[in-house]
Amino acid sequence: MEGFIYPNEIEINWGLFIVLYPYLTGLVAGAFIVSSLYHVFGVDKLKPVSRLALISALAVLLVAPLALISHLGKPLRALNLMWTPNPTSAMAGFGYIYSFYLIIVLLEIWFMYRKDLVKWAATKQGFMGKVYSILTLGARDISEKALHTDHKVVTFLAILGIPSAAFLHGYVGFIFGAIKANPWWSTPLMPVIFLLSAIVSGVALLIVVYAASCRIRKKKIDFDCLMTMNKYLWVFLIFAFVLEVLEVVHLAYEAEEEWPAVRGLITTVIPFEYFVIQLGQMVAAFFLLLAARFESVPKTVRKFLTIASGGMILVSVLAMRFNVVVGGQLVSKSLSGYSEFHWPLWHEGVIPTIGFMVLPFVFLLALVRLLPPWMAGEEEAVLQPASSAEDDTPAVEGVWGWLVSGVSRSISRLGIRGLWREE
Amino acid sequence: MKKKINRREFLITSCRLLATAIIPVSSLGLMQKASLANGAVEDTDWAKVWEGKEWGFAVDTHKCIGCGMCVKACKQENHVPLDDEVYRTWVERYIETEQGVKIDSPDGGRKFPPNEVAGGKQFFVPKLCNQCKNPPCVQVCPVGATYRTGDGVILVDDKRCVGCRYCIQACPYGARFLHPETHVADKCTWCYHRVMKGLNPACVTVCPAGARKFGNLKDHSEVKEILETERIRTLKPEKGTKPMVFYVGLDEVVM
Amino acid sequence: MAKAKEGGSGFTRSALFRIGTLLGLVLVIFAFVRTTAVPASFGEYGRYRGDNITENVNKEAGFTKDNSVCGKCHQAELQTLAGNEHQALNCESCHGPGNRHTEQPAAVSLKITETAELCSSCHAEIAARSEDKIATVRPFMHSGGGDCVMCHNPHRPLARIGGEVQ
Repeated sequence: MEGFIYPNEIEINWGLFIVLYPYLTGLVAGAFIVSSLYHVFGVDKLKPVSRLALISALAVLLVAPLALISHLGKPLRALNLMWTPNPTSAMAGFGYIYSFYLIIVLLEIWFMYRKDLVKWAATKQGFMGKVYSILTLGARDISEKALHTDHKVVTFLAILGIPSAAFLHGYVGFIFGAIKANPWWSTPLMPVIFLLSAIVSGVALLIVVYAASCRIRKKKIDFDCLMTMNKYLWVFLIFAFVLEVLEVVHLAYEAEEEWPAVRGLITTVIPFEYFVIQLGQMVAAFFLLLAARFESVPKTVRKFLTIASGGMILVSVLAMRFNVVVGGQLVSKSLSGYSEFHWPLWHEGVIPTIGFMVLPFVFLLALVRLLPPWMAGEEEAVLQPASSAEDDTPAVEGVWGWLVSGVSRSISRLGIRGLWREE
Repeated sequence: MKKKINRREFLITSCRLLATAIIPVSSLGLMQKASLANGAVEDTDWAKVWEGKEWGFAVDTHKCIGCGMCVKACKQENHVPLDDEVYRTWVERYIETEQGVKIDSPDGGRKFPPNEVAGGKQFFVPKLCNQCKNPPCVQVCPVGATYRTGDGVILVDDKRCVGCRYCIQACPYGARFLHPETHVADKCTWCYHRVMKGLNPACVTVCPAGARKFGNLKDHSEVKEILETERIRTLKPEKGTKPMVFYVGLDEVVM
Repeated sequence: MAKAKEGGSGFTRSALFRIGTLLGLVLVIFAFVRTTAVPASFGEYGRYRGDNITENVNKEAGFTKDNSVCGKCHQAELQTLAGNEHQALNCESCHGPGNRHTEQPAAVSLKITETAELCSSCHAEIAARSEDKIATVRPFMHSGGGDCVMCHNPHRPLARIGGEVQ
């Protein structure tokens, strides 16, 4: 504690779970938009990740509300939000907007996989065959005409999904931006800032997940696809960075009564988290992504730079969520001091937060097993026999390659590798 | 909450049938009561009760001696744990020095240490919920668990509150907190349960300096008289919340 | 269990019909549950549960109305207070919430055991507490660590020292 804070401000009311929530929905929105780039805007180079993007979005989407509900003082009353939403509350729409979006994602996935579901229902034996059978909902028509309808529906849902994803996440930004009591939150830019950082983090997530999945499946990374993601990440990164900085520059230039408090926050309370982890990594990623676009640079290096930038952006955006959510609460509303954030371990602490960050990947593994997202064109690609693992040209070199191959080796030792095997 | 009250036990045993239909409000057997002589009945028409009432609160900062009686009494009256760092009301001390203003509120203002800095402008400012006419906390509550009554007091429905703490974030005055035992939002209610029984809020009752005044602005009351005769200020009027706690002699440095 | 046999018209077996029916079902169930989940008095006076007003009002009061309540039994103390520096004080400011005591006088005691700290909360000398509002002392220098009641009767605070502030 520094200076004076109101006595009720000693406790930081929104902790790590609330940091996590916008982070997770951001990943969802970003991943969804990548899949829509392929389905709606015809960015064909993103085809290899278009299904993976949607499956990843669903995996993260399922975890997001868990973090939120665990944060509530009365988690069992969470559904009050659905029964008696207060129309004047910026938070009340959450339940409905979330449900709407979840339905869109589920529908899109269903229509996208329907043909496969019908095939799997017919070919698989035992329990899984039954599961697929139920998942088809009895709609077994996979004639040319029916598939054409499916395709149209997917496109329609992808179009509808873009504003929905933007709304779901921009809305989270509004929840913060509309709080006039908090000088670090209160800005109309907040929804846009949240949205752009969401897209950035979603693309970054896909780069990392795609690279990791290729590594684990011993497939070659589709270089064009990776570079396309590099391009989008780079462009959105510029907008995200400019807006984040613009907000602070604007506060500083107007220099109203709350500015000294905000200046103190970013220069003395969270300078490292803000200037180094959040903004510094964005700048670094900007240059690395740019370097990766030079054709004179060896391909493995270009891959490595892109993937490393993806990882940096993931950390940077997480820091941004922390700096907004917790940072905003550190500034006393008396504008005369700063609260202190004590990193709790258990109760809404670091350990369950890490759990919630790992959980989407557990869901992703399960979903990938249930609905393999690998595109049909790939199926012809030669599956590397296990013995020739050493000959496999590593997709990336250096620390990253070492890390990924290490992780994939341990995973295959655990026997989980079978999860990824093509049927 | 079950209470053991001889007088009421007698009442309950003698007219058990009635008692099942009526929630007996008052444990104040000895008190003479205002409008609600027998406590609130389940089907009280509150709109009628609110007619001709608009509560207001006045704080005379000149009079406050920073004893913290109000802080303690408030916690006792409203079952807020005495030793937890959460307060429905608190007292701040301002010390103007050459290096700027020093503000403190140790233990919510119950134990001000004698300060080393003597001289200069020094004063106390009691704080409590402003029962804003345009309350951000009510605006943001996602489930309709907090509301402003027709006579101008913001209450919390502790059976509906989900504990999301959005209201705590939205209050510009730091007047709300999460109750450490019930895990729902809690705040000053100007002791609405007392006011409806014709009593003053507990802080007003115990203030030895007469720094806190409470009353009906639509009636001839002490608060109304203060509003009509004194130059008053509210806290953070620029937030557009229209606070209903009026301060006499509020210094410019008070946030 | 989805059936393998091919039956029914083309439309009822189409993907859109199947998924549409499922969604419709979910919506109907939701709407039904919602009607039972919204409290009856919700919206009676506004977008909140009307019954909560009564619940709030019915909370038990801890402090009594004023000294007249105490005076019903403790006339002597009130008379002692009359006319001296502490006469404007509320009994419960020092003695604490008295409502339960009025109901069960024997079971709930309001006796004050420790006074030095209590008196200090008003009478300790701190700069922001101006002398013209209240008599202040430096507690330890004033009493040498002794309890205030050794010299002062809180109900007639200046009686024993000749009515003079030291």
